[in-house]
Amino acid sequence: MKHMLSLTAHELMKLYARSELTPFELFELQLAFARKIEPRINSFLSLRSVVDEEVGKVPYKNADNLLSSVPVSVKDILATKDFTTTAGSKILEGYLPPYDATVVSILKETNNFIVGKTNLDEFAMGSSTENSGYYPTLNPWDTTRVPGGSSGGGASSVAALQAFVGLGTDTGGSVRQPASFCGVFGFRPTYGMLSRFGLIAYASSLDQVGIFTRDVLDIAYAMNTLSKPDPLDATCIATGDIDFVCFIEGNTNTEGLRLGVISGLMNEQVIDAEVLELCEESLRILAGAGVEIVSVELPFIDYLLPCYYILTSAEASSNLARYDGIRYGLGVDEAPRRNLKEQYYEVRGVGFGQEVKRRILLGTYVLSAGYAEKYYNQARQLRKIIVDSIDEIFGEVDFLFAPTSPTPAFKLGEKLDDPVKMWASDVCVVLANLANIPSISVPGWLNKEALPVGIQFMGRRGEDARLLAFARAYEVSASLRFRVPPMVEEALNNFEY
Amino acid sequence: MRGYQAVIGVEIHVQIQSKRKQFCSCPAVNTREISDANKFTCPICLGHPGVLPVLNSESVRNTLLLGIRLNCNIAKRSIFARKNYFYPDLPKGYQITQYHTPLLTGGEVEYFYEGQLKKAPLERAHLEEDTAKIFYLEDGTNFLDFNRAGIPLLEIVTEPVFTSPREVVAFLEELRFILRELEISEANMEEGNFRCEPNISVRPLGSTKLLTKTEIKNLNSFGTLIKALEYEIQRQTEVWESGEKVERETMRWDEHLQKTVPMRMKETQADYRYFDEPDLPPLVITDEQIEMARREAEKYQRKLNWDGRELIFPAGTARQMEFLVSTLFLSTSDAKLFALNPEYLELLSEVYQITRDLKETIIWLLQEYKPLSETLDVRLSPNIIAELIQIKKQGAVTTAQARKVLALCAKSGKSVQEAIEELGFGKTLDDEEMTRICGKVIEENSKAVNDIRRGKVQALKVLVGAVMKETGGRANPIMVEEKLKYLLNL
Repeated sequence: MKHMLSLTAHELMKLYARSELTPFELFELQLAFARKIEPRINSFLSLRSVVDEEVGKVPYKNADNLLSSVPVSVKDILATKDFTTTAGSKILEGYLPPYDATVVSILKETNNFIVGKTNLDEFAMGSSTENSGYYPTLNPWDTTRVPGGSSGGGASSVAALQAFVGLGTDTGGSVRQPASFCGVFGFRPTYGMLSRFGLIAYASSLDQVGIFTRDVLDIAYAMNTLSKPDPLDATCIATGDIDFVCFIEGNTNTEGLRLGVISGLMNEQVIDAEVLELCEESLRILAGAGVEIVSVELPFIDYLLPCYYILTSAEASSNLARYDGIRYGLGVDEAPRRNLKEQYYEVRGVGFGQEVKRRILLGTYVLSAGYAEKYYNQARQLRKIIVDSIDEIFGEVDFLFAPTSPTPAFKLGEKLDDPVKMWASDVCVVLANLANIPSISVPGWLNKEALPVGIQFMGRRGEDARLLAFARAYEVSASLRFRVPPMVEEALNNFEY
Repeated sequence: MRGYQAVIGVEIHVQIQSKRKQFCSCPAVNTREISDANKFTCPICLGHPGVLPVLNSESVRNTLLLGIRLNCNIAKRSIFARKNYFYPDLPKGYQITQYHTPLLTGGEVEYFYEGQLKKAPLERAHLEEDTAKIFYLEDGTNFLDFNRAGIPLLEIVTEPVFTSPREVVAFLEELRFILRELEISEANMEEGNFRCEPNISVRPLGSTKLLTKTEIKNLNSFGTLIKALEYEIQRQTEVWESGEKVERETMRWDEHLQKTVPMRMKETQADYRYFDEPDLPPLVITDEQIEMARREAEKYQRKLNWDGRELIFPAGTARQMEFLVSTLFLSTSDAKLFALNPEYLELLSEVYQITRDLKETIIWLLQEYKPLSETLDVRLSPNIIAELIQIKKQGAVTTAQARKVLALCAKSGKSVQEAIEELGFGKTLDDEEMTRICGKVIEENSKAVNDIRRGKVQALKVLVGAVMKETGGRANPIMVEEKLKYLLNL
């Protein structure tokens, strides 16, 4: 029975449907294993200790292509009434939100089982989960390496059989890059396809909830479940009238589709040689499936990172202003007689980590009178240009292709002292966020050190279903099958239940 | 002050009447009792992590209505911005407001000042959200009440066009009246839903250059506004005269010191780092919405039938004042009473239509009918009032009698004729009784009679008065005088 933990969610639901097991049995098993392996990975900031009878005893309902009775991990940046929600920051230590994020409410309504809240870089700022205000998460493929970030705990939880599906957030690759590092699928929908209500904001114009799974079909199930109109999010564009599962099953033909390979991101100066080789292998498979591979140039490729970091820092400096310790979080009860300035200095000085402070300072600077013209406004204009040129490119091609990350998972501490190096690891992923297009990281092959390497497909804005259908077709052509990291496999074998 | 002229502009923060707050669904209610503090709050208006704003359409509708009324340009697409600064009353650390693209620009408020219709051009009016309220408690702690946080606000900014504090107040009174009449705001200064912050500079007479201005905050009545502005004009004039320079700063009125003092936080130097609010899509206004606002504004127009002509006045008093003062030559104070009370203006037109005597009609409406109607809370038809005025003018009753008739009509609902009859007025006394009473009066007033005989004819009035009194006002004074002359052989 314990090997059911490595199934996909839709395979699991089939077992429920055939009454081969009950959700409660599965949840107990899931929780037991998640807790057992947790000390070796640290995927979670809070992990449920028992399966609530109320939640667990609800029988499986065979709903139409929805995710139901599935163990899901939720990034600790999405508000939950029943788990503290910290955004990985000390400034929110012990904070219990008075409300659920919309995506969390939906998960609960559909009887999914929230295993726990996953670790992340503080306020989603980082690419390794080392910036967590609590502790780093380790990569289940090699625990001396990072799981990626910022949704590192989400990716590792799905890879390490701690949850079947993970919810993360992707502001600049924060779902796709860790998915690539941990050998799972990571999907960032078009901005607005999933409600942001309850997503603790880092950079509001780029933040988007993303999904970790073990195959493409599970993403479709998750999208069917979560992509709904939300009156609480004015930027939500979801209509809820697409069945992603049906769409994928009905659109398997890739014959004649044009895939644009972003040449600037297939360059040995930027990308690890082995990663490039594995990318070429994927492209050969696609060509074999009748996909026309063309090369596309992005003239602005060198500006992607500066543009991304200026915009996100600017928005972050404003989004993080609310943490003053007056209404919630750190410093509410302590030293009530502090004067105002002391309050700000103390709470924010102690509560925020280095990377967060760096970005608040940077963001404040680029928005300041006299500098906004030079930095923030230019970055805004640049983003417009990026959006327009990507739209133009999509007139020529159906999808875009790039590696997900220039390298496989790097060592813990390797880039921690060099923020610019760390930031550079986002070069392949920020395009989708800036251009506001859907993007998916698909696990490719393992490199010589047996580390997973992901590839990335991007689609037209709003054509999320089409992108998923294409990724599914690739998955089938490449005969991809979810691979359990050896360390986890061993733990499962030794797991007595 | 000789030789200097004040240049004043005003920023007005108006709380827009709405069921809900600007960006969440909490009731938009100001705290009346401290025990109600923080009752109307939710994660959104408390600025909890992860929440998002959604714009309230009611406050947009109200703003469009005002925009139509004041002839503003309505932006078809306006963008919200974040104004970033730290303060405990600002839960998110930024205020959602409009910066580069206010919903309303231009337009004007017409007001009536010193006998003429004047226009105050507006620079802009934009939507934003109110902050929380800080109570400074006696033990030195500060208490935060977030009921106010997120209440819809409209910030209205005038061009610097006013030259005197009293004129500013005339403008503000009219704006407040319009806001109330259109049901856009309760516009109550004490309640804090109409907050005025004037900015002021002075310059040598004849100069057109604007000099450094100061802003005055925390004014809670028109009285303090006038005092503060007068003080500030004096102060700035003295500063320039002494060869010094006026500093650009934000002042507040200190009631104890009776002077303006600089506020500690020099807001003018703050850098708000405005940028577009990513959580809200641009506010798009359709032609249908504008058309709806136009129709709505028409509902609030006042129509008046004057002498067979239909006059249409927009909400507010200015155009009516102009009509009453410039066309009908009413005094400003009389005109104001009619302009502020639409039902009296309507009565005026209807009664005048019958009596054709404007002066008498105004006197009877304002001096007699209005206080009576207000104390008894009854209304009389224009026909009754007109009939009474006419009967009085014909001399059938005296002014004093007419007053009593009016009161009886109001109290009992009787017609004028019925009331006159009941009071026994207008009934001519029979000759016998008249002769008897006049004789009695002559007998009792020998001094007056002697005066008359010595040629002091005015003394006759004394006797007439005495007879009138004796008859309880029932006699016709002209006939009484005739009778007295006859008896005295004059």
